[in-house]
Amino acid sequence: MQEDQEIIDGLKSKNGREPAFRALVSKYKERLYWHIRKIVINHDDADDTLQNTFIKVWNSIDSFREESGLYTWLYRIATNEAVTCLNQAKKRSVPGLDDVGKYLIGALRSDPYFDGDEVQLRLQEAIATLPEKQRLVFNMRYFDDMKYQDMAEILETSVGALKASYHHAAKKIEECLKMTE
Amino acid sequence: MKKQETHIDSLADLQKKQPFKVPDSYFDNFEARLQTRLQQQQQQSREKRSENKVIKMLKPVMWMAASFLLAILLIKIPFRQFFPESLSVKNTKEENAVSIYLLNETNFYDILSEDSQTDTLKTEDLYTYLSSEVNEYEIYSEMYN
Repeated sequence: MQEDQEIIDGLKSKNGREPAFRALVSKYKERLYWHIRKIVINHDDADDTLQNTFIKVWNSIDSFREESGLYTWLYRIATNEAVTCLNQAKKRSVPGLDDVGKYLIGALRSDPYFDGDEVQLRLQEAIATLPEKQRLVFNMRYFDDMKYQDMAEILETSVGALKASYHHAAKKIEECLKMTE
Repeated sequence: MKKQETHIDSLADLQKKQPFKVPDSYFDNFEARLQTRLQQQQQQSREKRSENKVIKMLKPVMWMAASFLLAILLIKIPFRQFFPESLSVKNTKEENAVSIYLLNETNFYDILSEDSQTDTLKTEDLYTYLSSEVNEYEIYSEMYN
């Protein structure tokens, strides 16, 4: 698998752009898929969002600044696309529904591609009740073991704020899990 | 979904397991589907670019025609409202000017002979005019000097 710098060099060149893009998709498709899936829950939404993400990447290659790494740039685009998709899906499912948590819990319970046990369902439902930022931070830290520095670049928030968000999110989830026993 | 009763004190008691799955061969087919979608998008933007080109070419021509029409309307309508007669006099003069321009020898003599028949100056009218402009003394001095 190609290193990120090789991919970036390929993307910036005229002739090497397409093979570099294919290498980028091959390297990051699964990671980005699972990141998106945890946000939108539904597989079909995750698939659409993943495609939209790569299309946006293809269209924005010229505006990519190498100050942020390729990895954080991709995750930032994927996160924004996922949040947009989630808001649109919520509006489509029940017009006037403001509570994203209710939509996500409904999506979890009806998802044919949910493969977890009851405890995992309770955990996912607890995560669904969190505010958006806390939900994102919790998923990235708890499931992906992402570094706070990387998260700060992706979510454009300070490391301190992220640590506080994670702490609050973890506490709420534990209380929620105890309540639902 | 498997049922399990578990007392949870903290997140540390839980297994960090991804509870979601994907359809079979999803990731194997993903790149082909993405490629199809990218090609469709490129085709759509090519069509849009050629459409924009035609509109871009016609735009200045349409603007000029519209401006020209507007200028004519802005001048003609108020002018006609405020100066209706001058337009008709001007038109008559223009018509005469055009008809004089079209004169040749044949129709010039025709015009002259028409004028002599229709616009004859009567003697009585001539005397009336002269008596109003000159007195008897002036007439006498002209006749006998």
